Amino acid sequence: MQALWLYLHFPSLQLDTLYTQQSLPLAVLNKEKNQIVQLNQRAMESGLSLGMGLGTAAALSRDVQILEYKQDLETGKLTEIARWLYFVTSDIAFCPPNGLLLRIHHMLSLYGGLEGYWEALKSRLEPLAVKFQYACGLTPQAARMLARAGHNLLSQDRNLLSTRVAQCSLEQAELVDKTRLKLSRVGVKNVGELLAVPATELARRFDMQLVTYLGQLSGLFHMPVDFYHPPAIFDQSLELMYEIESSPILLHPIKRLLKDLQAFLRLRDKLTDELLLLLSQRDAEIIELKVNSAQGEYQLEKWLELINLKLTNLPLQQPVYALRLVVRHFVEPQGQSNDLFSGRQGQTSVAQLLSVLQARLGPEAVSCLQLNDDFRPELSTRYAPPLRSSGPPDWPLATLRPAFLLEPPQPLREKVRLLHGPERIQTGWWDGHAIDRDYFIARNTQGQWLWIFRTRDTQWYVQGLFS
Amino acid sequence: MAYAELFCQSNFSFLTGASHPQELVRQAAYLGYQALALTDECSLAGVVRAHAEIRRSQLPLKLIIGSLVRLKPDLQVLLLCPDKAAYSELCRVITNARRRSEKGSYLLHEWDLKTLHHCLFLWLPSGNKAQDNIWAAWLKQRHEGRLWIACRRQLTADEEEYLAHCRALARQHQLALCCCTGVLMHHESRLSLQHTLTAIRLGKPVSKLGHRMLANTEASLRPLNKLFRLYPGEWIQESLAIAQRCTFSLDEIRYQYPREVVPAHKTAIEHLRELVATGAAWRYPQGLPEKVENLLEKELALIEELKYEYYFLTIHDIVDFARRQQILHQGRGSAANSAVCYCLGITAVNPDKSQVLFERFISRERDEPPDIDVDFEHERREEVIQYIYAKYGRERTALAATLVTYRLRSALREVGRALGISETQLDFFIKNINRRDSGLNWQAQISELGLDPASYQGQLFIALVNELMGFPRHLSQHVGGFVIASGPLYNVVPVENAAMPDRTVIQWDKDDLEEMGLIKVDVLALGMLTAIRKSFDLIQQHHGRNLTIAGISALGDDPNVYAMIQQADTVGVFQIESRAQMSMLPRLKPRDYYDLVIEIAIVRPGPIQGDMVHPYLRRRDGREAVEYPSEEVKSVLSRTLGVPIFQEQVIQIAMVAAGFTGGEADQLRRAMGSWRKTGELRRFGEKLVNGMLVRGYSREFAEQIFKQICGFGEYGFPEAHSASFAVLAYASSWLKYYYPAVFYTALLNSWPMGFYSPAQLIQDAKRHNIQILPVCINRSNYDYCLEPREDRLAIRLGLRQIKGIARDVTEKLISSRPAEGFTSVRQLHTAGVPQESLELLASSNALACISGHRYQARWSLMDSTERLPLLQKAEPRGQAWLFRPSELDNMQEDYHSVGLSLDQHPVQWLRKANLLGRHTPANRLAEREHQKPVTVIGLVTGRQRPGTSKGVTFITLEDDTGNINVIVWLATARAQKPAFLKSAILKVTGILERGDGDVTHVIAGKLEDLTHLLPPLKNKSRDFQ
Repeated sequence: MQALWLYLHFPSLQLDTLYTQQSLPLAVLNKEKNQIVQLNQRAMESGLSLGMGLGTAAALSRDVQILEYKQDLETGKLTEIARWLYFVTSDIAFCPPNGLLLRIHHMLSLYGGLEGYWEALKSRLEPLAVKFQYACGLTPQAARMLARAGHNLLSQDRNLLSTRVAQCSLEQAELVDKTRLKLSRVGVKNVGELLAVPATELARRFDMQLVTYLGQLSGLFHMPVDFYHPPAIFDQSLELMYEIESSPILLHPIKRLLKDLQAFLRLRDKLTDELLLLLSQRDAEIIELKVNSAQGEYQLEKWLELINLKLTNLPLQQPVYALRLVVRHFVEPQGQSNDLFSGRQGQTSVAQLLSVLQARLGPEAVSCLQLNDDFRPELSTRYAPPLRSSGPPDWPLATLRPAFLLEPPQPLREKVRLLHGPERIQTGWWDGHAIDRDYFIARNTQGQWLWIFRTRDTQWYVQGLFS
Repeated sequence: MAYAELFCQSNFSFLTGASHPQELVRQAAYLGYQALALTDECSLAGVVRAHAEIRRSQLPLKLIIGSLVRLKPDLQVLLLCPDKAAYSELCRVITNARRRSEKGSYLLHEWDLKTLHHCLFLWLPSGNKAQDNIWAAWLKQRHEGRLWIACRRQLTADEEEYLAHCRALARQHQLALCCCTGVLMHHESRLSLQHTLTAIRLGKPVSKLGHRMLANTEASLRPLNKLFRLYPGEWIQESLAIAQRCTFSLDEIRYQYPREVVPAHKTAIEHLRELVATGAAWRYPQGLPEKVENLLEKELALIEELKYEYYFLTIHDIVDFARRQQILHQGRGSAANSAVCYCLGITAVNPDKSQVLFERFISRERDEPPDIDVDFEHERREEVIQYIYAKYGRERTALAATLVTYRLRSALREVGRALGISETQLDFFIKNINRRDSGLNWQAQISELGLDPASYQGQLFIALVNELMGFPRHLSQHVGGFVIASGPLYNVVPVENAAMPDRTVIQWDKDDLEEMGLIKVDVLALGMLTAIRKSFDLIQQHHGRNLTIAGISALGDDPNVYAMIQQADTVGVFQIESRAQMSMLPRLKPRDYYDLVIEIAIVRPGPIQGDMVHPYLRRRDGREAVEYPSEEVKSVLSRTLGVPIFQEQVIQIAMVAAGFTGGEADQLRRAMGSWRKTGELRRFGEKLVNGMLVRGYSREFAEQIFKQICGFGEYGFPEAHSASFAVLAYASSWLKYYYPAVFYTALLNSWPMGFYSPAQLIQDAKRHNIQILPVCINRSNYDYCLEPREDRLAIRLGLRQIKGIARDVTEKLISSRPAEGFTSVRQLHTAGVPQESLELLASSNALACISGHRYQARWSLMDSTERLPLLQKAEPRGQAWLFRPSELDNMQEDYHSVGLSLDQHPVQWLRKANLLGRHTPANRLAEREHQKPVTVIGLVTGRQRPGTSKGVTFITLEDDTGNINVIVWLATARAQKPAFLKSAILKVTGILERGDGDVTHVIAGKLEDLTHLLPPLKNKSRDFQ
């Protein structure tokens, strides 16, 4: 069978992904090259075009919004598209950041020819609402070049495909700028003319990169292609024989699913830190439970314990008739050095404790306290995600600070003796929380040491208490 | 209650101090301080400003000169100058520390501190006990009796502990304690700006600075009663005693001219008189005219009275060197156009011919130093600079500094960053701001940055940007202002490194120098002088005639040359070649030298904004009566028909009509130069108008004059400069008229210079029927050259015109060129010319004579096997290449490689290909009627938006027959932005306008971009300069 390739080019992946509502002119700028790389319709109407610098763009349109180009964003989206297309076509190769190469001749008989195949593919692509250009080609490079040039060509006709390739300009071929310039300056104008030059003549004048590329374009050389393999996902459903109305009873069928998961994970030597449990209720919305563990787990008991905690907080409105367990995230097991003999019984690691707390209280409810670099006492500490280590502060810590701060500061209502001060803090003008205070250390009649301050309008407050 | 502040940094401690030196001294005086020490970090760059402010505003404040220096890792000392010896010492140490390090930084050594025997040391202990004990002993051993511990109280955390530490040090080492503040701001309201500066310095947003910023406003000038509560009385007394010891004032600095310009046995004036006498004999071989003789005597008397002999002698020395080396030069400026300068060879402006009087330029009552700038050939200025270094020595010579300050764009960017606004957004905003048509009201547009102008954040942003504008950023080197002294400069002012290797700058700029009475000599570069010198050489070579600039002037006003000027046939001519100048020429119709002086000065934003152009033209044409409000004003304005055109006239009017004293007029002159930055001019407005009202002038006239002064501001042009420029403008016009081929060749060989690209110059040459020959490997040199063809000279393109070829490569090529020329590509390979350059030569068609068309030539050259030694002996494979260039290909390759096409103009090609439709070529526009529709097409060679024209853009289109001037109004440009901004080939349909003197423009209506008709054309328009 003659090989046939189809290339999908997504010219404005970042724009299409991020901004659905596009009433404003938008342009994506590659900052390193100072070039506009993507544009929406409105931006084009204002005269902007691809490859333009920021200065020209600014001169042409005052209200264009400039976004910075982010390649990883596109690559991520591309993976998503590939995963989505995998349902209808098998051999997909990535051409990051914005292209997919499909080997399609195996697929044609399945869909009853090119038309049918394209229909199937298109019906998957269109709902994604991303712009795409496409073309068939006899070689991967040919398909890629035609698609990127915007031919939108669907054909198996060898002559037609070859003619179109020959008509492509040197700009459309993937040549190094220097090579392209040299070629144009000896009168070569398009790919057809370039292919007409004997390869030996080219080899005497250019590096192998050009010869290899042309060979791949014409099919003389084979081009190695890595196909995409979707990651394994654990996704298992369980229809219940009878409807269950109380959550504790649900644990039994859940245990069955977890057992399968455990086997799945052991087989692959993987752990997971997040699982999704879906409970189908008779006359109500599906309940989605996301269960996390700070430390990757595979053991059934650990997960069951965490799920149990979640379920106790979850009164069921309607009887549940089916369960589904989905795991998409996998983590590599880290060699935990537990002594073989000391065992782990009765021991809970900090990470495990954290998982338990987060499962019970919700992930947002657990944080830890950290020092914050700010003169304002109210902002001298802050909450941070747990277990994230921060080094020692790189600023001098004042020695005379109380351990206990009042939030908010309380008006001073007693007689005190000032012992130390003032220390003046006037800062925070930039964020609307400006303070202007003189701090003192004082002692009240009970002998308590207080950290107090006076504001500009001579109001006195207690900020903290020394131990 | 008395207090002396001994530690204060201005904004010349860049990105640290948050107040100008002037603000600091004013505020200190207002608060009743007895003395203020300005102690910028390793710098004296701000001291002259503080000194001048005290003098000008007569503040009751003693200025102490000092500097903060740090010795890594933990020593900080304030060095104060009690006397002149200490000042010289400090200048030397700062110079050494600065010279050791790259531009903008310094590196102090222990040794530097050891060598200070006069400076007072105020030590700021670090707080580290062990280190401080070592330093205390070290300092005491070397500087006892001049050493104090300076204690600061800024109400910060743990301050008491630090003070206790200082007291302990004092006890242990028996040192005296004094107090200081460590001022960074003249007023506490500058705190947010100081934080912003810190953020800029550290490259972090303000919100991320944390404890790296000031905790409070205490680093400001604080009221006396507060200071007396903060510090013990004995500390304050000690500080006052230190201030008392500092008796040094900048007034003590006496500049000494270099002595070697006068021979040992003569006085300066004797020597100058001798030189002038010799020069007079050389300038006037037929004998000195009586008028000039009287003039010389008068000038020399004035020079002697004002003691400027050394200044003239120094410039004479430099110019004399240039004359010996045959480097063309021309002086200009307030004293340059004197008979003395003419005789000394400093200028070619003949005092006999011009009406310009020396007295106008040096005057007793305006106590300003003489100012002479000397322009040299731009390619040879370096020789002059090296001569100065060699003769006077590097220790005694340095460039003046130029203070680079924050402008709107840079302030917006830095404040934006400090407030955490996204960079891309800022870039975009700033690019938009830069457009002149919207530059005025940037505050209203900050909503584009996501800031509400009315909000707190928005107001903050606006206020910070406004405050930061005008703040110094760094010192840079002046374009050519040399300071030469009789002894080492570092006894007078610190010297630091400039960005350019081997260049040093002093820490003062030209205003500071003027304030201090130090004289600088401006050694500038001028491309036109190079072109004139090269013209003279070529004329000598091809016509055997010897010419000089003074010689051309001496030939008298030539009607042929003026006829050419009146027709605005002045492409390439000095000064009067710009589009604005060219449209003025047919209206002003210069007939003699002084007309050129006016022409050069009148086409400037100053006279245009002051609305002086039209009255002058009307009066010149006799359409308006010439009137003067008084005899005094007549004496000033009669030579310009009652309309002030030159900067000097405005100053003189202030004196004769508004009663300004010489000193005040001098201040007015300085304010004019910088009023946009400081707004200082407004102070003078009232005084000027009132002064004139009192003297019986009408309010209308008075206000008109003030408006003109404002318009002049930065843009006014002095007659002194115009007079010198007019000489060059005439000389170049004369060359263009009598030796056009020579003139174009010289211009092309001096490029880059002037207003036009080589392509435009060559187009102009072709229109003057000069034959232009293409580049050729066997005929061309690096420079353009002249080849005799039939009865006249043709211009041969030089290899310098080929893009990407280095000069040394072409020189190698030409030196190995056989007498009969190269005959094969193989020979080129063996000449050792790099492959890439050979390919560029092939594409320029320079190899046409040896290897066929350019595609073939390049393809053969590219073959790598041809270069392999083994195959050297093999026969070249004369294989034919597949592709031949078409006419269009050739044209495009020509543009690509030499930036122009000799065979045909792109517009011509398009016309032949029938792609253009109906249109009028440039040379037929004269036949079209005024105010009738017209269509023109051309290559866009320039887009200009003069600052004076409220958004109008001038586009110059070039077709095969000439240039077309198109005027695009703002609304037209906005409505058709893409075509307006992006076209390389533009079609304009509009209305033909013919004004005074038949100046023809097309007022654009519809703009159509035709660039797509010739896609890869590489034509570079010179935009918005």
